[in-house]
Amino acid sequence: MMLGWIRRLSWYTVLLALVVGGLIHIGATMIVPPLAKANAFQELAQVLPVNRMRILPPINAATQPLPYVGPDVRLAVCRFDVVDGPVTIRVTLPDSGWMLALYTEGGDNFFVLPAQEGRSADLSLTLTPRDERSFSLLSLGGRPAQTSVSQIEVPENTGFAVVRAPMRGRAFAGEIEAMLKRASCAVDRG
Amino acid sequence: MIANTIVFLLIAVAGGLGSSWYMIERGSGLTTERSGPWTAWTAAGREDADPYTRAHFIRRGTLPVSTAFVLTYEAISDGEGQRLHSSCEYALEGDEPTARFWSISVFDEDGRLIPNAADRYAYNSATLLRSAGGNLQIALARSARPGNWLPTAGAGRFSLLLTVEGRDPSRSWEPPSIRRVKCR
Repeated sequence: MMLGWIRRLSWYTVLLALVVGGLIHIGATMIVPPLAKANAFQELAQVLPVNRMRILPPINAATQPLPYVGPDVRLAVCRFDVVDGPVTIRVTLPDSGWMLALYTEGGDNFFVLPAQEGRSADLSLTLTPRDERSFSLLSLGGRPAQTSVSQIEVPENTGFAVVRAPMRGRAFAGEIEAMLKRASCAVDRG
Repeated sequence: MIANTIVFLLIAVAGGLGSSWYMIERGSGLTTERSGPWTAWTAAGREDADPYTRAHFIRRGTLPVSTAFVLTYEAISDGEGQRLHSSCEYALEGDEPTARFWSISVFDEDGRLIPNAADRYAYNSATLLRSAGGNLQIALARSARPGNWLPTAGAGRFSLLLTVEGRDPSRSWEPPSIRRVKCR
C-alpha cells in the first residue's frame, strides 16, 4: 500500500516542494530578527534615558535586566541616539574582563572595546551617524579595536552602549561601582 | 492528487519552517560547537555571524559578547540527554577551565534567574569552593547541599550557562559533566 502511494507521487511535486521549502526556510530565518525587535531590548529601552549612562543594580532574580544575563557581571548602559549629533562615551576599563560593547536596538553587537594591558584605562569614543565621515581606522563588528579609538560610525542611529564589568566576588562590589560611575554618555555640544 | 498535495505541504511548509526553527533554536555543526550536553554558538556577537546565530540571539533578546572574548556554553539536558528539570538533582563535575574568568549560572526555561532565599544564582572562578582534588563540583538541587550548591526549586525546566573568558587555548579542556543523581 505504501509502495503504491509512493508510486503515485510526482517527482516534479517533490522537487518543487524542496525548492519552495528552501525559500520558506530562508524567508523564515531572515524574518526573525525584524520580528523579534519587540523583545527585551525594547523593554530595556523604555526604562533607560537617552544619551545618559545608567548603572544597573547588582543582578538578581528581581533586577535581571535581560534574559540569560547572570549576576557575575555589573552593567552600565547608555541608550544612545545620534540623530541630534555625535554622542561621546567615556569609560574606565581598569582590568581584564572589562569591556565596552555597542549594540544596535535589535541586539547586534557591532563593536567591542576590551580592557587591554599597556593602554590607558580611561577611554573616550565618539559615535557618529552613518552619513558623517569617520576619520579613524577602526575595527568594527565585535572585533577589538587595536589602537586608541576616538570615533566610530554607528550602523543605526539608535542603540545601546554597554559597559560590562566582571563581578569577581562581593568584596569588589564597591570598587566596581566606583569605576562604573566614571562612565558617561552625552551628545557633543561642541 | 491528494498524496501530492500532502507531500508538497509536508516538505515545503513543515520542512521549511521546521528546519528554520531547528537551526535557529538548536543550531547545527556549522554554527555550534558541542561537548557532551553543552552547546556553544561559535559566532555569537560577531560581525560575521551567520543568519541563524543572529536570529538565535536576537530572538532571545540577550546581550551576546563576541566569541573573540567570551565563549558561552549552554546545557539544557544532562549527560544522558534528559531535559534538566527542577524535580531532579544533578552533580556538575569536571575540571575548571584555564581562563582569566569563568562562571556557571542557572536560569529557568525563559532565561530568568530562579528566585531563591539564598540569593544564589551562580558560581565563578573567584567564588567556587574547591574540593581537596581541586576539581569543579557543584550540586544542582531544590534544597541546600554541602559545598557548592545552586538552587533550582520551582524552575521546572531549566538551563545552565557556562561562560569562559580568556581561556588558554594551549591547554585542552572539556566542560564539566552533568550527572543526574536522583529524581523525585
